[in-house]
Amino acid sequence: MNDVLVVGAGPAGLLAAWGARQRGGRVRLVASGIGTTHISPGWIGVLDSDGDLSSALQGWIGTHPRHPYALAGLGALSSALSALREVTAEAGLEYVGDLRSNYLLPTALGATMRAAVVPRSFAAGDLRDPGSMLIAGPAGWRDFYPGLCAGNLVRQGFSAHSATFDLPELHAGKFDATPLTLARLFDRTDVRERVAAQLKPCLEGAARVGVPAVLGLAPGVDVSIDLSERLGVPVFEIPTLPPSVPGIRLFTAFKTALMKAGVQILLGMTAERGVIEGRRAVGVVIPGAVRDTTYGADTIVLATGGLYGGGITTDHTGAMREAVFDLPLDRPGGLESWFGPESLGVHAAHFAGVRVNRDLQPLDETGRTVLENVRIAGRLLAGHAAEAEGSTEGVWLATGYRAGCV
Amino acid sequence: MTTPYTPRLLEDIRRTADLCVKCNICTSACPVVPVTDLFPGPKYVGPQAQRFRDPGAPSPDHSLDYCSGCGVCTLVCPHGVKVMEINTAAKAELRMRQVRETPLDPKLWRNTLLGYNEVLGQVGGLVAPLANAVMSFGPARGLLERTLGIDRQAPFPSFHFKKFRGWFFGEHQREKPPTPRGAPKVAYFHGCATNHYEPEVGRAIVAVLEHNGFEVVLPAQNCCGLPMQSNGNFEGARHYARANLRKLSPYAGQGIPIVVGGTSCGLELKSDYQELLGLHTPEASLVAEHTYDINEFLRLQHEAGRLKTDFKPDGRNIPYHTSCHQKLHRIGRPALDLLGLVPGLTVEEMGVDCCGITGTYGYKHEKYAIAQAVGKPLFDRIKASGASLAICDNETCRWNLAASTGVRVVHTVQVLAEAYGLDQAPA
Repeated sequence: MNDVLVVGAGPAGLLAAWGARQRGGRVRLVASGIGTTHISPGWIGVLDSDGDLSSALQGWIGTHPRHPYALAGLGALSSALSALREVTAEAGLEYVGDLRSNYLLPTALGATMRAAVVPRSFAAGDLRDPGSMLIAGPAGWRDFYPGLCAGNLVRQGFSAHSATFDLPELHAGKFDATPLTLARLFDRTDVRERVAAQLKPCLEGAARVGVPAVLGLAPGVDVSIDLSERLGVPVFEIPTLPPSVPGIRLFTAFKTALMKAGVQILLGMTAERGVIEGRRAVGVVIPGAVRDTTYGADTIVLATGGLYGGGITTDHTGAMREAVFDLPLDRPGGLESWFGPESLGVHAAHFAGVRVNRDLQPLDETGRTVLENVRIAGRLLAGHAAEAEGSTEGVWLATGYRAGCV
Repeated sequence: MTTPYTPRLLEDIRRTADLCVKCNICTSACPVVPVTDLFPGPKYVGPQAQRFRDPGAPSPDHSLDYCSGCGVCTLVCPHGVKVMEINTAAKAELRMRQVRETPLDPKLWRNTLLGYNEVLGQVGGLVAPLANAVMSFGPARGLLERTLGIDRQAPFPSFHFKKFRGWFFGEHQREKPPTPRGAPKVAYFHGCATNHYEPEVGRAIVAVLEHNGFEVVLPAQNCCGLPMQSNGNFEGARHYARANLRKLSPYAGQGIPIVVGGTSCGLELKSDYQELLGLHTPEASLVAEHTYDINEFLRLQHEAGRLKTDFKPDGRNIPYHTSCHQKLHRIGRPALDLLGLVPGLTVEEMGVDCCGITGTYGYKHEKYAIAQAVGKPLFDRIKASGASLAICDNETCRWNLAASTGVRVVHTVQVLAEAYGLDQAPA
């Protein structure tokens, strides 16, 4: 039996663990803590492109032969999306859309972003659809300002107005409400009933209603459908500040599926270093309360994240190091590579990562495989600037899926 | 109430507050937050409040008291913030303030009393039938609830006349087969619960270790100190800790491994004495280095090819709850690895973070309902499994699960002992 150790609990690691388990491996997943699901919008952006997405992706891998998509293959991306649908459907979550075109979706600030596959509760927010919008949120909630969101959408030529609704429970306690506080409130029928009653008179002919992504956490009830029925128009979610409720739904769906499949998920376990014998990784060392334990495996999937996720550590000089095996890194330059005119624009430092072959095995500068039984997945991979490309979630999933094919 | 604690590593725990990026992942995972309005979440009372905690200044928030101390926050934090540990240290300061300002508050007395569970077990055991009758007598529990705020429904174990240590030094020494020459020694730290309430757990651990060729020795020992520590009584906990270190270090000094049955007691010996109580002594690190959770120890034996695997097949499907403190050992799931060696046995990890009781938290009247609500998803899963037996490796969690589900709950090693066919009451 293939013993597989996955390091990292973000979407890349979760999907790799799922895939490896489906192939009959004995799988353990270790991670320092919960990963990027909780700080992600919950949708799957694959490439920031309007028009025909599949040909854009084909073109992209043609011009970017070292991009993770080119190495993992677009087939891996499609299969990853199918696997995602399978796992989430089990939890009563529906993901819609495909690789033919992108949704254009509003953010909490009223900016726009593109995503190919989205939770069904986001779909009605597609700005390619001209229908006018009511953007609504609870009055007095510090994390979402309907007026700001609607105002910015209007500035870009979309038809939107805003309203707030009162949710006394939000202010009953003395503590700030997180998106989760609200999500738990929306799990209650009486709350949905009251919110719908307040919003109905504010519709003013709006064809749809956008609210912060707090529409319920409990499995089984699709709160956005329930609200849509009450209001008579489609209701859609807009991503919030963290913690992300749609991201938590995704994490919970994977956690449930993995545990049910017999995968041990071990959080609070930081892979501090790797143990190497020749050209193979024997295991990773994880410090316990008093002693280190070496977790051995036949295959190790590193999905530890990039510069922002902790998979690559750095210091004030801009030096970079792969955190577990000290793998060779593509380093795009010194400290100057960190700076650029736009914070979310292309920064040379964003291309930092581990170079891999088509099996996602790590390579050295000469293109030789460094560790035969290690696979790299997610943001740790070199050759892409996910933030600027709009490929963040797509790379997570495509390479997570590919890495799990062991 | 005396030593201001600014020892080396405690400083480090507090400094981990600076690693917090306010992502609120801990708040999203906290099992207490969803069930009460009285607790704002670990980020708020932990790393966020920490920056307002000057030595000598009052603790900024009483809601800290509603932190159950389960430690899920620490485990899910991707940035290395020791959230629960920050809270535990702050609770000690809160208690020092209560002692100064409201020394007659019954809750303070109750919290102090709950820290003395070792003494309760000793005294209760002397008059076991009487103590058991009182503790199962409704009006008496009602009185206890009204005066001290110990909830009338909280799951107290039964007192026993006969202690585990009595069995070990008496009957067991007379009846056990002779120890093979050169058998490696293991020192067993059984803790109060095994000695006073669940001697069967201790007997199973001794039987499994002896079956695998070890000579079990029983060091003198006392309460690990956790019940005091978690109620903010660091001075009392240190008193227990120093006594244990004195009693255990001679064993550790000879290289004898110290195995612990309860996951919470084990965590005390391994890290809390140093990290939280600030006992940075050579004795403390010596004892810590030699301390093993019993399942961890047995898994290491297996990895070294030294564990017997002559298990009888067991066709059962048994739910397993990983206790919070077990997770804080950061040793993976040795119980699942061991139980996986029993042919035919299916063990399903429940995947619910916490049972709610967290030591003495769920015994307190004002927190009983919170603890029950925290544990409900777990109780429901165990009940829905239809199993008549469940496994959990921590004492109070076991009692809580048993009382809340009606299912018998045992330690992993009790199931292993049965699978070995050792002379035990069946698990």
